[in-house]
Amino acid sequence: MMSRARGLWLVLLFALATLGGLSLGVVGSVDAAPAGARSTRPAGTGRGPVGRQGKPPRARGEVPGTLGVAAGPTMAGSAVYPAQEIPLRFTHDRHLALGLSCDRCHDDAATSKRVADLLIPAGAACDECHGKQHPRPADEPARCDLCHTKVEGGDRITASVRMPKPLLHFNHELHTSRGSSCKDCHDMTHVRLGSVLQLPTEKSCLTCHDGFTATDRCGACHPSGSDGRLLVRAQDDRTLPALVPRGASSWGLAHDLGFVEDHAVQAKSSGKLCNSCHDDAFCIDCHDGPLRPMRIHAGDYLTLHAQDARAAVMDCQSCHRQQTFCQGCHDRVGFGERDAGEFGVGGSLQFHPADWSGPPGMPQGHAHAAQRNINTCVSCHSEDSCLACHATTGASTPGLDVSPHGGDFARSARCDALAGHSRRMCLRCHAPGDPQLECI
Amino acid sequence: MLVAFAVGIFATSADAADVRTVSRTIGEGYMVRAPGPDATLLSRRRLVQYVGVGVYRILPPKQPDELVRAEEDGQLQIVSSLRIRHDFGTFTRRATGDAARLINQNDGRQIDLLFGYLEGENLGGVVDLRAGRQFEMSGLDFYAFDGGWIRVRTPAHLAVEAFGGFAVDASDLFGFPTFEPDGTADESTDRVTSPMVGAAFAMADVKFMDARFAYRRSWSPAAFGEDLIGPDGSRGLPAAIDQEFVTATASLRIADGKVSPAFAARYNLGTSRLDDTSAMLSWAMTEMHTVRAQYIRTIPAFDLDSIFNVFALEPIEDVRLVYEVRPGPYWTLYGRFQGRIFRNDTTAELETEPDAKTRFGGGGAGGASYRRRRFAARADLFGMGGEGGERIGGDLDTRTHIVYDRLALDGRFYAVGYRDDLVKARRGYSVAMQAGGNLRVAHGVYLNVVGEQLFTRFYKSAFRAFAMLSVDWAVRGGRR
Repeated sequence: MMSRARGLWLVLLFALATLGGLSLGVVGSVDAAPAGARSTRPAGTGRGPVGRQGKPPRARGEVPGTLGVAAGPTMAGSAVYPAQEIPLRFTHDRHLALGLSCDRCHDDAATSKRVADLLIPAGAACDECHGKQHPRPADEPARCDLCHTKVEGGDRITASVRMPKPLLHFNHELHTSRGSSCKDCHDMTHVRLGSVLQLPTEKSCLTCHDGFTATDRCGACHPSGSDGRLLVRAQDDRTLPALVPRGASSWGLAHDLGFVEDHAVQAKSSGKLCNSCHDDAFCIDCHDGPLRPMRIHAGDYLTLHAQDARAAVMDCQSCHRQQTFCQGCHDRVGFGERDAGEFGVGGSLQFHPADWSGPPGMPQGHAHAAQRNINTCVSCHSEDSCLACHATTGASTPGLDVSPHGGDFARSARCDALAGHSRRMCLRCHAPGDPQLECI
Repeated sequence: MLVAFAVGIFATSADAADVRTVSRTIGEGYMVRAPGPDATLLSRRRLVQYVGVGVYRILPPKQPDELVRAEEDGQLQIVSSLRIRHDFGTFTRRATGDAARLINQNDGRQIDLLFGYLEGENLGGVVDLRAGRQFEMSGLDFYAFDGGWIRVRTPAHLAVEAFGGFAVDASDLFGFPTFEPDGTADESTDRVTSPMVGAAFAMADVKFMDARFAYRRSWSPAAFGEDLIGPDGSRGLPAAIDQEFVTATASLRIADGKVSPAFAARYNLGTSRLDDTSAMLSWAMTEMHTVRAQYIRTIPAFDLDSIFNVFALEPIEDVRLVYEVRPGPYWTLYGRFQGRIFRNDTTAELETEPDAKTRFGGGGAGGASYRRRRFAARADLFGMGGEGGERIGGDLDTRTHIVYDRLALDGRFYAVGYRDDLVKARRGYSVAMQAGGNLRVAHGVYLNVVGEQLFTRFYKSAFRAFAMLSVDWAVRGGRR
């Protein structure tokens, strides 16, 4: 417990994280990237990633976080094509109409072997037609705003191009040497400023990468780790969105906003697909971990979980063993099974409602609850609770001979199956020699 | 040990190998109020240490100009994860009797070996294998075992699998408590070693379909029944079958992937029931719109030593529907429905009739996520009713990256009001607020801190703190 003052401090912290963060975030997103916000270097004056004052972009914070964090929101953009910022004014359509070929400006594209190669033209390439500006002679008037959109005072560029490398393996030279032309992958008709929209989509790649014309191995294009699994996040920028299955290539594994609650069916039917991105530790973090998923067990879950368990909203057993984890905790705080006490029958804080259980002849409301969802019983009760009434009088733990079986149980295939697999189950209630011990 | 052994074995043949070590230290502290007139407060002070070691790309490249061995040439790797955990609070320290015994299995116990195995992939172009502590999450349930698994792919797009070993026992020094079969309380007779075998046929390298048919059986040794008198009057029971399942799973990709049906079914030979069936249809209508429908039917099942199998009679049926749309680059919206059907069996022996033969539970949720370059948020509203009770609430989850994205601030808010359908006194509300930060301390070293303030009908205020230090390093060693 904490004092009210400390609680208020936390409320203030929450407000700071949410509302303060909101304003910071929006400002950060509207303005150009900090990496180039005050760059004195015009866009595209060199090779390699464009960044802060000519340096490569700084690697961003890698966020491990709790599971709540890991499943939480990430930044905008695509995991394959991170969000770009291109504060330029340019019309591809008009340049193509003049008869310019692609390689007139993108002269290194046909021989590029890596996605890290910067293939947008340098400013000097524009000077051939638009006049000397990169660098600009002293007597030449500044015409920065002809192409640049972020200009102050007529000659100060306040934001440069930010174009993080795609999270892909790609070799332009390999493709052009096999007869691919630029327009096979980049549709530049009716395009003004080029953007990620003109980069090939997975669908267009798969027209050739179909397993026959070219390989359809995921790792051929998507980077993989040492263990062969796809790298679902950029290693130098974990804040970028993760590579998640989406749309027609997802095999039904689209990681939508309800995926955490609903992934069990997919995992059962196609676990191999899950394993192509997730390792064992990823599964166990949730399914047997001290890292409780914040969204799944939010707020006062200690109080609320009983309702979830009865409603079977989730499968508690997928993470918790009921006869140890659940029963141990319930027993510790006083809810566990006990002969008498506050929570027992007649107790001041009786857990179960009236008419729940009693001697033979009394109403037995618990029976229906057990039939509907016995998981809720098992989380507090061990076998001995059932034996107290349901065992026969001659059993090793004598009961009251209240049979839980229906009338035709002894003739059923279910009886054969249960008795045929393990006699322990039968002998907990029936004594050796009991005629009811055998199926008919 | 496994890692050291494997490194020793393969070091002579490997020119290079990637070694990854992951260490996570997690601390958590909060109080639990034990219900009752005394309202005793119990402290939880958990400390958990994970250590994971992996050695990858053990086999050298086949071709002299290769940096790493080609996938089609096969590869070996070793992965492992150990966990040590302990609760220093009064929750475990002052527990007595059964509670102490059960709690200590989870929070006051030994080292958990979560997994640790040598894995071979595509050896000889046809064989995949694993040897060591491993687990499977599939249509066959969650289970862990110490043993081996092998898969041989045939040219007929069919793979044959065989696996066997010993089911993991929670009470072992290197046990794994969660994955031990459920159904019997942790008794001394529970501490037995159960052999397990299985086999499967699966489709392999088929582009439009993934399907698997599998069988698994495990045994309860005689030691488990030593306290009972057998049918012949002698003390002790012979070994019995503890679990026996057959499963069929299939996943398809049709209409160029726009429609993806999936199916999984498990037949429990021990209870003579189809006790876990699920089907799903996912439809990617456009790049922006997706729909997913699911049907799940389960009958609670336990290991076959447990009498709980006798009482688990009726299936729980669950229907789910999710629709998601991405109207723009920043927004994602979704709606979700979940409905469940519970059944009561009206047998004369019960001395009571249920109020209804069928009971329902269900509800819906809707929400949106919004992402900009440095800020992201997700908000949800939800409501449910029927079996279990009523609940309505919402949440807001935000993250903001600052300081060149070395630091991220998290803010979360959860609120819910509830009313139990069984006991009228169990009703109330809960409001929780969390603030936290994720800091990248250095390359591969991260610190995550979260504080939560909680207000409920039962707590004027409660505080919970969580911190995690994570170190994730990978090195490539060897001559290349």
